[in-house]
Amino acid sequence: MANNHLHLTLKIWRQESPEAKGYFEEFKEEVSPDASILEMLDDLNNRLEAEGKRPVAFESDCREGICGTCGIVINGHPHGSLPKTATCQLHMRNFNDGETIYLEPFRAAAFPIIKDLIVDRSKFDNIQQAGGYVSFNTGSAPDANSIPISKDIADLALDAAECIGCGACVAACKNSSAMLFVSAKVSQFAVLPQGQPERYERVHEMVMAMDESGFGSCTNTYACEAECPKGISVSNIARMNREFLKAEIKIPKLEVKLR
Amino acid sequence: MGWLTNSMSTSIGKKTIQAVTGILLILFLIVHFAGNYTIWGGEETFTAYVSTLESFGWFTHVIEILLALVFIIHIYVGLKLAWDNNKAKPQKYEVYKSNKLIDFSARYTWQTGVLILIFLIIHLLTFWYEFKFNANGRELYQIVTDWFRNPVYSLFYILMLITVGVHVSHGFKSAIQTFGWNHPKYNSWIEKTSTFLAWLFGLGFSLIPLYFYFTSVGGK
Repeated sequence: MANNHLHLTLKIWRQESPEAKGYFEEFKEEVSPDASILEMLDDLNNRLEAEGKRPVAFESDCREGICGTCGIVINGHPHGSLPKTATCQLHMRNFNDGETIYLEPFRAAAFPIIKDLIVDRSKFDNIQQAGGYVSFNTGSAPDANSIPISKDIADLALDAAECIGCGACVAACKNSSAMLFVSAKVSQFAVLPQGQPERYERVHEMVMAMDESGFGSCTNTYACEAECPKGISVSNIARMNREFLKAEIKIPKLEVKLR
Repeated sequence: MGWLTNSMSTSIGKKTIQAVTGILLILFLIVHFAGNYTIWGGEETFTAYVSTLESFGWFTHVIEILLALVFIIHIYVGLKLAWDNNKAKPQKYEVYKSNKLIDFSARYTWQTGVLILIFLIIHLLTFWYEFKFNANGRELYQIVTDWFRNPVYSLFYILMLITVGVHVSHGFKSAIQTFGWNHPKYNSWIEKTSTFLAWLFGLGFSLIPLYFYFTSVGGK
């Protein structure tokens, strides 16, 4: 079989520690078009380790595009330029022979770099914990479909719930705004009857947590929607805006809740 | 008032202030536009319009002060947002691209805003201040047509009015999104209204300096 391998120049962001100064290191790689970008990095790391050099640090888990752990800015696009594709699902056949590929970490003040391509996304956990939950009474599990929900509402909730919390929206946004992520998490509950008890408190608390984390605000460029590996719609941002404004008007004793 | 201040200091709160003041400024521009177009009726019609405004007395001043307040809030909050947003992304990418062809107006909203602020100051100095405090018996019509004889001044005006159009083309639909009005049924109308307002202000206002510059050249 003829060797159809691609010959690529990789420019990878190397940064020893959060405080260290980062730089681009260049690698020449010969890679199969069937490899994913992460498999290419695995190959590279095997070689680096064999040579006694420090491997490139990057994150991944399921490698099926559903966990949201991986995330590299590839040639200026979070998760690469292929629409609705997570980094792990991006294969080298989408690149051309002889191409130079820049691999950078997600950049945002709220996502400090831990090492090389790994960033600390724990701010997303803080936001989720602030209100991204529903309360259930203990006891036996409720019957499925005991609450009638129309198809279009169920679709809205599921479309929002598709968000894997990878942080590509923050990486793509020129303001490092987390609005797409937070709005998806607010929306998936706000449209469903199960999410009603905490509806307004939730959006208030999550927006407060978002602002405290140092994310920027939304300028409605919609770069997030274009880069989102799950295609989360910016209509969720509009929903969060109106949920938030309603919450601020409606919730009694808001001062008590404020941190 | 504690809760309102707290709510409005959040990121969404600040965006809401921008949206409300922005829509108010668009409404003002529509009134301003209608007023300006009395100039096509000739010197008498325009002067009559100006003196009608003047005849409201204190009421005009109250409106002027409110308008100035709306401008100041919009400028202050806009710059504050731009400053905070810049801090949120301290390190830029080596390569930065997007799947979406992000329109210029959305990407450079605060920059076009600053240009409009410079324009606003010059506009007020050369027309409003000149007419109110340095008229020497000239009517506003005279001041306006005198200025637009100057090709550099007219060109500057047209470029700045296009900037206003660009700013509004993003501003209007962005404000609607901030209010939370996003619906597949109406999104295309919102988009079209935004584009219409941009052309109305960008081209509509520009016709005045264009006309007076060219008639002054021809009439020499």
